[in-house]
Amino acid sequence: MSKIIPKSFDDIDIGDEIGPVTKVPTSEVVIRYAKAARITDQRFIDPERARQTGFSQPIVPGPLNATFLAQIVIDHFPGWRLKNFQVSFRTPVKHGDTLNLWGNVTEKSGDETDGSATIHCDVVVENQHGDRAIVGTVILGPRRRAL
Amino acid sequence: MIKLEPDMLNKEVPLGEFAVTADDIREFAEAVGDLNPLYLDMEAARQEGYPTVIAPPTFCMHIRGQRLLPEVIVEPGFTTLHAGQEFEYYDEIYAGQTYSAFGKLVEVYEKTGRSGPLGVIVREMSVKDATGKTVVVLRERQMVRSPEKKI
Repeated sequence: MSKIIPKSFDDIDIGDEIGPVTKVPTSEVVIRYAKAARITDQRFIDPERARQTGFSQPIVPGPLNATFLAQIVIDHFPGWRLKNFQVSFRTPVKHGDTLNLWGNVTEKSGDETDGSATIHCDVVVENQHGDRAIVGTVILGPRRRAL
Repeated sequence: MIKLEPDMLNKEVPLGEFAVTADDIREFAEAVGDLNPLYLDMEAARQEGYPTVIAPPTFCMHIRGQRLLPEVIVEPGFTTLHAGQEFEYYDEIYAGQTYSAFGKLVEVYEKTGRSGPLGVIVREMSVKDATGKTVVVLRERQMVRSPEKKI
């Protein structure tokens, strides 16, 4: 097993890009997520229930799309962890939509040596029509080792 | 549109205790296609200084499930929609630990938007470890609107 090489604070600059990464939340992905997240709301799966609640078809739970965003940020910054993660859901995502996820570093502060280093990022999920489904912000700090 | 008992605001409600297993974490990570070894591989987690596998950042959604508590009564003819979420992290969630969750209604209000009247419900769920230390706070914003406007 290869050890995870942390991304150095010095190697992170304002403006650095995260992604883009493409995700396609199919119906199968939504069903698996609903089971893992213990979601029982059928509007995410059942077309009739979706119509009754104002959607033309079942939608992807917003937290699943947010999960994709958290994943691309963590993957981009090995050795770092989320301290704060905020998202606004702007446009519902339909099953099978092609999502482009990306972000960029907007701010860095503190010092890596005393654990006070933080990285701030803006993050976006856009569908295949160019509509922004999610916009958000992330603050990361160095992983605190539980030794 | 929204019916609310006035003493419900900012009243913390216990949601129960939740034992988190490595299998729970694996199920969640695999469901979202996140195969980070810190979530799946005990040895990889130990190499990073963790005593066991840790959970992905949004794993608290597994704890939340459908516990949209405290309950708020939405009048017939209206439906709810996730408008946003915020996660505040203070520690990792570890496999093999038992956590307690507490729910709180933070804010409820109604306003008129571009597409007509809508309501906003803000809830908070705190997840605490066995020592009572807060591990993560999840804040959710829900919008209440008429289902007549198809999306």
